[in-house]
Amino acid sequence: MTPERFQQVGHIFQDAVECGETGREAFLAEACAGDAELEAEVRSLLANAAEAAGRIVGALQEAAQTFPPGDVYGEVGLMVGPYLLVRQIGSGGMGTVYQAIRSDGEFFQTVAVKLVHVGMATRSVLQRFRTERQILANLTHPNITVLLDGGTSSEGRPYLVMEYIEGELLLDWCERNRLTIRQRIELFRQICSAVHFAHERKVIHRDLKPGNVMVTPAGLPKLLDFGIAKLLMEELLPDGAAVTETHFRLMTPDYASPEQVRGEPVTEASDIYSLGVMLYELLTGSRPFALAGRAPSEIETAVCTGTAPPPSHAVRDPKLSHELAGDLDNITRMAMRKEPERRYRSAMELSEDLARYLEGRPVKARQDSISYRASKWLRRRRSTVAIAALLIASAAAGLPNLFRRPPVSLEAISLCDRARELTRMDARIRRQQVGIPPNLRQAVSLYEKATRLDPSYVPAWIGLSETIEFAIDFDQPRWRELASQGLKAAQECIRLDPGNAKAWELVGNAYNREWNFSAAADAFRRALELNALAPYALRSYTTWLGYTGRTDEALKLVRQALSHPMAMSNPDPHVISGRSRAILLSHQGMLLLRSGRYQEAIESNRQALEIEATYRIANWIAGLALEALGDFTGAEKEFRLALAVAPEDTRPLAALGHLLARLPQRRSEALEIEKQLLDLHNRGRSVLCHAAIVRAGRRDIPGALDLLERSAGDQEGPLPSILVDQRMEPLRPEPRFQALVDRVRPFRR
Amino acid sequence: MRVTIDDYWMDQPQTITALLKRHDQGDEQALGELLPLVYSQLRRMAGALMRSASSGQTLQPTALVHEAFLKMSAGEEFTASGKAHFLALAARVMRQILVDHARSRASAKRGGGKAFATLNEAIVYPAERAPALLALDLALDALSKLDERKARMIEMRYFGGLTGEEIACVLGVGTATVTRDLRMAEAWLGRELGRPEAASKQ
Repeated sequence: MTPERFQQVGHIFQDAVECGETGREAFLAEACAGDAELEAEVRSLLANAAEAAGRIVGALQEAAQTFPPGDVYGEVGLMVGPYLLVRQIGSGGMGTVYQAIRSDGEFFQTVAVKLVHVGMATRSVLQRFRTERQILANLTHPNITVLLDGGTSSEGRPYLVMEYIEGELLLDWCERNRLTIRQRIELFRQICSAVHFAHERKVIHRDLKPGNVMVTPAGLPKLLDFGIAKLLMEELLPDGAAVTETHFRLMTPDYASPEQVRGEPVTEASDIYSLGVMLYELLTGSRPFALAGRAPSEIETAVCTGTAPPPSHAVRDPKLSHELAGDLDNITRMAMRKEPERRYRSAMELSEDLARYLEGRPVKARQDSISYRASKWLRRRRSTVAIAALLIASAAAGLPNLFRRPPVSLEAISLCDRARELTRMDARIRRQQVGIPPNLRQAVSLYEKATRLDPSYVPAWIGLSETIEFAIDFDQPRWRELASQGLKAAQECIRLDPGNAKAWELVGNAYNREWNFSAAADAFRRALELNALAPYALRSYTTWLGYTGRTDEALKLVRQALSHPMAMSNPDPHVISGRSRAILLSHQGMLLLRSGRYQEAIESNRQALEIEATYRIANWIAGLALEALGDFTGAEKEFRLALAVAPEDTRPLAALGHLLARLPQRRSEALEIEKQLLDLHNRGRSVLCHAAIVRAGRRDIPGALDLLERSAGDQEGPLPSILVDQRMEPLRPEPRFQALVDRVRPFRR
Repeated sequence: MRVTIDDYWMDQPQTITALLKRHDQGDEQALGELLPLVYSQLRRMAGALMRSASSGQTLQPTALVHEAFLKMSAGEEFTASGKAHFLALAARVMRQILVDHARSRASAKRGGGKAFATLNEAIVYPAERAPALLALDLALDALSKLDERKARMIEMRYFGGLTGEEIACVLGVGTATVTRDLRMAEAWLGRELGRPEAASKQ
């Protein structure tokens, strides 16, 4: 059909509708004038008119109803609470796990977010979820992934936020590094210590398997999903409906104990059984029972009554078989006994027995007999592993440290939760605020209370330090009342958890604020060693490198971050997570600008804008580069673009003022901007150094120096950029300016 | 909090509202910048459909578009024309989101004969049905080749929930025309969707 023909059909159809049923036949005959095809077309439209809208709506309805809460690409780029989902890591029946960054505009931290598929997020379910996750937050152990946060998304779906582990799955790690039996056992013992730690706190894992253990590049095993199986199962299954079947559906039968397979209550002993299976697989590379593809009833029979071949029979290599025969066979067998009460009484006991094996001492898992002891004694005498044994003994001696930490008080956790809620602020409110907002003061005192209740609870110190830094930013001239407390809190975090990149960032930030730049740089460098993408550390440290003339080194770090798989992870420009990449590109542009590489600076910012067209900081930096190249018209356009989105952003405002001051016919506009900036300063914003930029543009050298000196008196954050800011050139010969440079020079120690 | 020595990383203000405002004031360029933001806002909100559906209510995509407008406009005043233009844009975005989803659903692999799903492996999808939305999308494309204006009207009405006046405002025609054109377009689409082969077309 042609468009013309379609129009013709349309007119006749519409007239036919309007002329009503009675006159319709006559009308059609006349209007179609013997064109049978035309008439048939109109008639078929008329016949469908009544049901048409219903069909269209039906299609939409269906699409809406089948819209899954977690389809694969869909959630990447979404915000869950303050977390931005950047990449899907895994997906399960109960939820999907994403790599995410916390990005409420202030902090970036890479985390794993488990978003639960739940249809019925009732109040009581959410309440239980909340209580449970508070208990889980107690599990602070080096081999357990930390539960950082949790809550409910705006769509009402519960989520859990866990430490993000960059690493390999346990079995892959062992294979790739060709770990010996001894090394595997040592790794496994760390897992045992984590499980024991949790059991002491009445938390059962319920789904222990190699797939839930990651190994970090440093070789530290990390247990994932502790206690989460229970949380999620209860969530999905009110009233324990069809327990057995569901257990099968939700957990891996290969590692399930007989009591789990039967749907009986799960205890600590069930975890010991799963540990036994895990050990079996670590030692032999295979699982005790071949369950793949079997029916549930067959699985139940195999797990509950079957006898697994001992590990030494499950391997082909005779040398390996010999190594496994005896003690390791027995240890595995004891962990995997059918009767829960006949297994090791704790994960610790299992771990200790393995230690005995490693040291060549008699293991408990075997009936004691004189000949057995004697053979052990002989072997021990012969062995050349005395040094290794010593090392192991000292490692074992260090073990109790892990268990010494008392459980976190629930009250401390709940105080932190409340404080966190208080600190979530709209960016716009934040900008307009003058003075420290009352909710932040309240959050600070809640965090303080939490640290008093439990001085070893790291999240409370982090929250305290973070909130203080945040609060100070509102009211810089009067920051001293809080500043030392912020730094102390951050240092306390590091004392408790030296591997915490965020804590190092906080310390660096506090030093930066005190203008102790060398100490700040050291802290930021540590943060970057722990997390190459720690965003504030990356930007601050590279900025500092730029100030000390090491731009190439700075650019190298930024380029490395840009090629990091995470920074690349989202090529889809339609999701907001491109933002972190845009920020990095723009920062690269700033570094290039300051080393005089203007064209490259413009290019880098253009790339940032391609990813995120609304990232106006990139316009500002591009404008500075254009100005430096003498393209005043282009520069003005960029500054105004930046201001269009953020009229109160004083950086592009100062840039525009400076630019206009250089154009004789537009100096009055520049003066106007300078006034505006000073006015903002009087209202509590720390922008004296920005006003100084405009004065420098007007060639009012003494006036500009006055402002800069006052800015130094307030220790304004952006002031050190005068070290590299080309717009300060006219001031450079002045002794007063040199004195300022000395104050902000980053080499001070 | 200020961490960098420079403070040029301060967060941006509510970009969406600012862009909406500019668009409302006739800045065409703002539209292009608004699109990805609207996409991610709507996409995020679409996740809520599932929840509503399972609790027995059905949240229409059109309701979602209006809710998105309320959220994104953040309580600021907009002209009737500005709002209508935004809704028209959101309608197009909503269509795209639903079509993307329907496509991925159509091509999703059926779970192979795995007896047991583990915590980390299983993906639970709602029961499979033929995505009727793809048929609707194809039919709308065909319609726009015959009469683009009518296709846009359908899009605005069904995906965006625009009123007759709003559609009239966006297209610069009278409301009577909208009523007439919509009736014809609906009948035509309804017939296309009613054809037996429409359901199997993907």
